[in-house]
Amino acid sequence: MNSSAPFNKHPLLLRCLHWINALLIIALFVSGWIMVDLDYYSPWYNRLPEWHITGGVLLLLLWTLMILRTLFPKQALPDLQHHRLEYWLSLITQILFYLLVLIITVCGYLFTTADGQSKALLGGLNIPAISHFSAEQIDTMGWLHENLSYVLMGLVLLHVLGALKHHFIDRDATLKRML
Amino acid sequence: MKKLLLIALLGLSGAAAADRYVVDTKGAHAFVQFKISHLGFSWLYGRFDSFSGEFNFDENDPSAARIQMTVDTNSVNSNHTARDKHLRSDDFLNVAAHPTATFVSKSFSPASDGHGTMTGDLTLNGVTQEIELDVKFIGAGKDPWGGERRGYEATTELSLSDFKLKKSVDGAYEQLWLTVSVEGIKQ
Repeated sequence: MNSSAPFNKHPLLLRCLHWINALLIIALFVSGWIMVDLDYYSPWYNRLPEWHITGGVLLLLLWTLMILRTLFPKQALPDLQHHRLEYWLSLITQILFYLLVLIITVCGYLFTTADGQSKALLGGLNIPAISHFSAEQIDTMGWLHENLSYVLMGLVLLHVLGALKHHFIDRDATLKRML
Repeated sequence: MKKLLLIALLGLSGAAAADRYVVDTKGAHAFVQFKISHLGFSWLYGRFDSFSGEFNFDENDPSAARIQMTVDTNSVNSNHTARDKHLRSDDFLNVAAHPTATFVSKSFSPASDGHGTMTGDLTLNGVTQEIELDVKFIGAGKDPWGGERRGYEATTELSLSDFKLKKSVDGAYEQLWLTVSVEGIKQ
């Protein structure tokens, strides 16, 4: 397929969710990466984690929508005749996105409220605590939250490279359908 | 062989002369508390929730008093989940690498009224330093349930950098006041 051929775009809701989630996930990764090394005297020491947590809760809500969306029948788009390997690679990457983002955000939520008390977000909203966790459980969730984020970023890189390859080398509509 | 037996018996009688006390953690009549300055504004108090210990005390030879305690560093509790998580990390206690802190006494210098100074090795964050604790005798005698108890409160001042804690907040605020309160049950 070449670039001038007609194509159908993904549904508007999916395109919006895709780009909002993409921005949020990158922003959360960068803020998380920076905030753990902030100097105690930095004006951002308390502020950045608050933003990170608020953004994380927003992502968890949007991600719930993403997961719910998969349960509804989809309008089939024309097959782009991708290479079998590319098809499977992209499918596995996307399934891992669903899993990893869910695990990372849920862990974040649980260890943020692990003392059994609700947590105030920016804007005055409170998120309720779901359960109480021990030090070991909190540290395990923290380890997952950090390390799965690195795995996720590796997959994001693969996902971006794939999209760029389809757009610039194969010159097909893979990326344009999402714009 | 006879000689050996004699030495063993002497050893036993020597040990029997000093009473052995187990720190009453079961009834939580013991505390490992600390306070540290928060940027000079206020005292931040924290404690370790899980530890064990025992001590020996001989009425006739107070200078022979000995104590050893082991603290689970994992149990640090400053009443703030996120801060406790940070305190457990390798920025501070590095509990994954050093799950316990220990104190083993070396000598006791008795003062009046049962008080005194306990010298011993404190191992924290894998670093062993000799420290001195100011020991106050609180009370001893029969408890209402048929046992015998003896209690002390010991205090000391530590410098976080002495134990190579990676992230003490600032040079000026890294003095930590440690209070160990123990009640031993005579065995």
